[in-house]
Amino acid sequence: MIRRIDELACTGCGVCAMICPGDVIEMDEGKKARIKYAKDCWTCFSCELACVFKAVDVHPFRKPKPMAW
Amino acid sequence: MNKEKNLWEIVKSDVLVIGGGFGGLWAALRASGKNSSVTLVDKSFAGKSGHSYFAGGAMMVLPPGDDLDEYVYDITLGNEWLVDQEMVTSVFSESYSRMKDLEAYGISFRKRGDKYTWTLARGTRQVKNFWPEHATAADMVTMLRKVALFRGVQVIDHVYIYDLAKDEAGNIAGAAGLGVKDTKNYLFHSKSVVLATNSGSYRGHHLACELQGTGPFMAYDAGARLKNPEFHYINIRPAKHEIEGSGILPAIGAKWVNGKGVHFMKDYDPVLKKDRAPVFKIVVAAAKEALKGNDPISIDVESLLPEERERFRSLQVSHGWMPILFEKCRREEGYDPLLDNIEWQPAYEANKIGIDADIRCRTSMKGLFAAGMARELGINPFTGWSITACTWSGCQAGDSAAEYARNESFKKIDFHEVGKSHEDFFSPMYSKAGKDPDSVVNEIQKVLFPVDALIIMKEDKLENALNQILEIKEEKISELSVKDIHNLIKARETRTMVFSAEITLKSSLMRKETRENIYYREDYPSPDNKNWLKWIFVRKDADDQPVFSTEPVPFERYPFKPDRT
Ligand SMILES: Cc1cc2nc3c(=O)[nH]c(=O)nc-3n(C[C@H](O)[C@H](O)[C@H](O)COP(=O)(O)OP(=O)(O)OC[C@H]3O[C@@H](n4cnc5c(N)ncnc54)[C@H](O)[C@@H]3O)c2cc1C
Ligand code: SF4
Ligand code: SF4
Repeated sequence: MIRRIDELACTGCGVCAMICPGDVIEMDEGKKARIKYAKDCWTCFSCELACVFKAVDVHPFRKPKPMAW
Repeated sequence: MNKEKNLWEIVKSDVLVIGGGFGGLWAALRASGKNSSVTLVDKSFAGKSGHSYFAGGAMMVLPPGDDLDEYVYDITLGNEWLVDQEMVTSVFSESYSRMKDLEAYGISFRKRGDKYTWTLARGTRQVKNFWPEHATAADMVTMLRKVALFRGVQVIDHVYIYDLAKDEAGNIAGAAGLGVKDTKNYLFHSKSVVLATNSGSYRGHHLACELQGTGPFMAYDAGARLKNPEFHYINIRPAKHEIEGSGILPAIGAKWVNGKGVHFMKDYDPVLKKDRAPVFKIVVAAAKEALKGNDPISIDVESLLPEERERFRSLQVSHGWMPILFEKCRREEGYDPLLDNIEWQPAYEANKIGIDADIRCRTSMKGLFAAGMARELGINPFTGWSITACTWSGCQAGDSAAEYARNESFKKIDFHEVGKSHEDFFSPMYSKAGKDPDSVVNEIQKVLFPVDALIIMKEDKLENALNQILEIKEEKISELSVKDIHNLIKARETRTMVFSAEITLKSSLMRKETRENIYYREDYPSPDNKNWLKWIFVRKDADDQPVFSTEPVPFERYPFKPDRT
């Protein structure tokens, strides 16, 4: 699940918010990327891969859900 | 009338394509090549969302010299006879040309010297899978998006489509949507529509479960017929995170083990495949082990041959997100998924419900065409079949939709109906006291995720699950309450989930048999070829209720026929 966007490293290019399939990231007034709906994160790493400024950090574990048993 | 129109940002084109994965992108490309103006709309970013972008990229292809009949036979057997053999024939007949198209667009497939290398598709005797250089479909869909733009397709990202629009004669004439980022109301006015949204899931444990493709349910609402509601795709993956290509591990020596350290597959598929059995069998076996109290299930990677492990690393853990995942597992969680055994979990992955369509991907609704997994494309999710079949259906639907548009004029949209569906879609914004969609999704998950609901199926459990779903439908769905657009979309998706669960459970109660690689009813453990060489369909009646019907598989038209005893 996405856990952090480094505000200092973020240049506000908007790429992560544009490609996020879960509509998790928003560009805020100050033109920085902000995590808005973390619990809807797909844990797909697209944002981390796309950010050339290395501002995004996604943890490999997905959000816990009701289990199979 | 003008007041109604003013509410909308109107986008007009001959053909509208909804969804930008393999199905939608191919449909848009093909339609644009036929002198039609084409708009492609996606709720996220076409070519970078949906299953296509995250897929491994294996494609089943019939190369020149191979026998088409053998391929059709293998796929028919893998679907235990319940697949349209005419469709399978058409899919493979075109598969090599589509791979060549991709090459012409700049995608390279693995070769040794000037010869393609391929792998045998799991669960088949003959069918070949061809692989793009980096074992990822991401490059392919990214490229298809570029080609579509180059060909003049108008691509509109971040618009969620919630309903199809009709003309005054009741034929499909566009769709209504909401801008996810710009919050505008969009009305797409077109002569024909291709639905390519994929099918749905329940936001489950795997990456693939996150996409809620609502297209088949929009088609159902508009009056189209859905097929295969009783089938679903079950899979087994690491419990906490993805591993792309994890299906390959048993093929290179990894073994399934239960909580007692026993290699249990030898008891379930002793003769043939054991750990390499088709995924459906492994999922059912793992679920049974768990119900016996033998959990957790894991995959023994310590027994991998070192050279196979390193080959997997160099092929799969070398690009995209896999190196990041491996690095973080190592650094932060203290293990390497290829060296240390971790827990795996069986789970419901995605619906197999699709829109019923003919061989040219025309649906029963005039003006409506279906592509990708939103169209019914068989049951067995063999690696490599889905991309090839989604590609095929995209091409068929794109050609058919353009042809239809060429012979039609723009019809007047029925704004009264569009207004009603707009109001209905927005209603959770005006409800103050209702439930929030997340809590309802959680309730649905609690009903459907236990392995003895939809993996090990049985009459009493199915009935129990159905009653709980109907209760959720009665008491909670009409009362959803949200505060923003993001959650408004979730509210619609939640409603679709409840409906999809209802028809899946009802139709699973109907099919009283087991087919070993696609469908497991514990209380009816054998195939019933006498009564169940049939497909189940569902459509809406005049009172908005789902009505189910069955039709025999038309073997009289097909090359291969089963033994009916
Ligand atoms: C991890 C993974 C690996 C896979 N590996 C392989 C493989 O190696 N080989 C293989 O053959 N298959 C593979 N598959 C399966 C295959 O990728 C999919 O079946 C196929 O890509 C589906 O394509 P599609 O066009 O039907 O849908 P998708 O690619 O899912 O596209 C649907 C699009 O519709 C959009 N959409 C949905 N609803 C709406 C709406 N209401 N309004 C607007 N837009 C909407 C979505 O945003 C999405 O972009 C894999 C799947 C996954 C998840
Ligand atoms: S991609 Fe990186 S730099 Fe660009 S907005 Fe996102 S976090 Fe900021
Ligand atoms: S990991 Fe994927 S879903 Fe999650 S925030 Fe990043 S891009 Fe969005």
